[in-house]
Amino acid sequence: MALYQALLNGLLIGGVYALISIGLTLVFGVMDIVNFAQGEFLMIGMFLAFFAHQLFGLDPLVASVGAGLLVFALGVLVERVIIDPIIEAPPLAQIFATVGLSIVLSNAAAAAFGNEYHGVTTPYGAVSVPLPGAHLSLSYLLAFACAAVAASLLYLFLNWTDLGRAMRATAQNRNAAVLLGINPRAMYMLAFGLGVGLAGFAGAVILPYTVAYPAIGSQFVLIMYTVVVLGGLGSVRGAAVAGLVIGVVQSVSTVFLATELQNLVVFVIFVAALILVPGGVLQNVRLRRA
Amino acid sequence: MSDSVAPSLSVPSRRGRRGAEVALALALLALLLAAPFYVGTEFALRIATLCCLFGTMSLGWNLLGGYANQISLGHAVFFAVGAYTTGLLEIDLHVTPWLGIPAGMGLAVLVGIGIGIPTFRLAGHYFALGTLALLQIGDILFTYYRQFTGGTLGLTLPILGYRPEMFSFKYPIWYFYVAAGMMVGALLASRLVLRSGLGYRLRAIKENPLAAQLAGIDLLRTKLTALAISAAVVAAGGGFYLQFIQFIDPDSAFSFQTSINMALFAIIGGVNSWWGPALGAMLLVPLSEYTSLQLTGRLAPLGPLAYGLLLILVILLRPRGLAEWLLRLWERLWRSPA
Amino acid sequence: MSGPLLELRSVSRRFGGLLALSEVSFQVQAGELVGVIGPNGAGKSTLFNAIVQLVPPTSGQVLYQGREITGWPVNRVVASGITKTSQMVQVFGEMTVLENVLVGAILHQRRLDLARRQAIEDLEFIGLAARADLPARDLTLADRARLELARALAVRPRLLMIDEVMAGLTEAEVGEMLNRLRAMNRERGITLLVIEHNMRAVMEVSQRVLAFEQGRLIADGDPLGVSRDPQVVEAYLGMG
Repeated sequence: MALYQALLNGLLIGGVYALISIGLTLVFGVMDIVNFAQGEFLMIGMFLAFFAHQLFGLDPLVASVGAGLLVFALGVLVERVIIDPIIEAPPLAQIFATVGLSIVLSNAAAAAFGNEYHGVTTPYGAVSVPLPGAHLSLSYLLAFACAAVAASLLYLFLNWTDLGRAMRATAQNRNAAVLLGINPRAMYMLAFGLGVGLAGFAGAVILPYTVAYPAIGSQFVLIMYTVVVLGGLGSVRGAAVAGLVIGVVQSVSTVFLATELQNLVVFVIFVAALILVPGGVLQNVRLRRA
Repeated sequence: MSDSVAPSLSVPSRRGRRGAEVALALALLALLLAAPFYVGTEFALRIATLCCLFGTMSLGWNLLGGYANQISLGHAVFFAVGAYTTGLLEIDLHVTPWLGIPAGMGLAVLVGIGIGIPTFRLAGHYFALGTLALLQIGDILFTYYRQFTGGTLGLTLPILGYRPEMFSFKYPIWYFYVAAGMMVGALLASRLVLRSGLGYRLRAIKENPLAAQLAGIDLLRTKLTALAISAAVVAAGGGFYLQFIQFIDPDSAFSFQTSINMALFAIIGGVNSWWGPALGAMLLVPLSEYTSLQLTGRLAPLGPLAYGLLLILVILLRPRGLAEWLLRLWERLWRSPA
Repeated sequence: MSGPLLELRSVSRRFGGLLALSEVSFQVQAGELVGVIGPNGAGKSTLFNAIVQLVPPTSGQVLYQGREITGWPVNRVVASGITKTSQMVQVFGEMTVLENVLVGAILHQRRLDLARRQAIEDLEFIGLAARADLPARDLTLADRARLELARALAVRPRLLMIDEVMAGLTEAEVGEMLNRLRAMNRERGITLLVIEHNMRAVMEVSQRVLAFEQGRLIADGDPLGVSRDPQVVEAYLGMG
């Protein structure tokens, strides 16, 4: 049954969408910055995993932790050099600093690696688990599991560690956080590193079922924004739920619509969400209260 | 809300500065209009024409993005509306582009109002995200409904020969002068808006929306007015582009790159200036055309890479853009001999 | 116009669990100069914001010239003749002092040259004309507060609400400002509501005083009477 199969695939892919979007919404929640280069950090994670596989024979899922950490470090550096100076600047500077960053990263990758598709072959890449009425792609399932673990760890970090609580406090009220002895600039650095690090990690875990190329970030851009807007800008739990929803919607829509129109449904939801529910449909736990 | 990146320098004499501004803009314009006399090749003339085209569109983007800081990342939507309206009217109904371009401008105004009303009520980022989504939706729809739009094959204009009444000219120079005229029009509009009540309202909204409301400004109406003018100017650029290049397809029409370029030229030239965006286009279009000619294959990404770096550097180091910097230079030159 | 210029009927404003305004009712007649006093957090600024609809009341009605304006967009309220200045001074930092006032003046004067002349007059009245060409961000805080007042005047309000314009002024400047307030009220016929912490100043200039505590209106009357009201005395003593 195609619908059942699509539902299953959508849910698994949606888990990864959720993770990437959580990174985006975390940065927005803490720093009030929309990172238009989020997709490029995903791309970097993919290439890191690709080269780990080529050079050291590491499985992408094993390399994903290292890829995430390296992208985290890159994110911290980028935050220091580009984001910190414009954190109080008008929207124009904020938006185009990250837009410029996205142009630089994707074209630097194109110059370094070429525009060809870079894929890896894993032992489980072509394996699928038969279920009654459908079959479960093992690479989807593993990517989903990795994303779920990472998202849970982030959730625990935000709720159960002092550092995580400090970050949430900064998101809610920067001035009050300062009074509590929290250094907001350190929080920004950490939030940005974490936000893009999650995207880098996600890039590595999806490599077994897709291919890396320099412009792949743009494939995810609108899906991420749709998820984040649907979940409420700045809401981690909202992004998690909305990620799954969008994965399912996107996948199920191919059963009814032409493949070319697959993303149209997502974008229409995006515009509808922007217009009808600007606060986010799924705002359960808000990182920040406006 | 104030521009905290900007250095805190006060402006010496505003009247003298205005004169300098007009003189500088006229000098640059003269340099451009005389281009056919000192550029020999057809390639150079093509670049000069593209300078005017992108200058026009960047000026259009700036009316909203620069003056009011309402950032659009999908302004190519209006470019696409202008190009497709003109093209479809000409191909399917044999309507002259001289009427098709104004029709495209009108349609772009309607599209702009359609996206502006829901998103302007929300904070800054939503409008940027909304126009970005519109760009993608347009691309998908125009690719899918190929019976109307030609799909990925795009629209190719029929070869008409010398028919100026159908916007088909004998020599490339004519396209250049039409484009230059369009840019002069956009420059006038840009200056008129900046020095009008609308311009003051837009600047007030950019600096402090709360204070703007207390001064009685209707935020939505003011932004929509600027968006309408902006969309019309960019749509005119789209209509001209189709006539000049003779071909359009969804990917080149609904292009993120085109959208970003409009903003990029404006930021590098100076968003607070009525002529800065044109300056940005006149500097960067030749640079980009030249580099894309020289850098091919594996080196091709280096052009856009340099672009992106330039954008970041200007934002970090010269947030007021090159127009402001040129003006300061000009003032220093005039004052130092005395 | 025979009825009151402004009337509040049981206006309340809730922020989450906090009741910032509680069942506030009063009337203001055209031409009055009314002082608004109360300890910090008494709801004075919220009152102004609720009248101008920046923070619309959660219940109750605001009537202006007999017409209900509750829920109107702020700009419509301002265009109809009410505006205010803000405790957290709000100016357009990158624009010049003159341009700041001009933004207000173009609300009712579409011709820029005439609007500019009117803006210069307002700056002269407020004592900032010498700084007309400076960017507003270069002004001192006290001057920025004056600039905001000049811009508010430029929209030609019938009812002007002034939120602490005297903070940071010297004794002499306070005297000048009081004279200006009187001139606005008497010569220009503007009805004024004035929040002020400088108790001497507010008692001196007001014809009538409204006292607030914890979102409630606790006294309404002539300055002397209100200052002797036991509830008002209690509120201020309790605060100190």
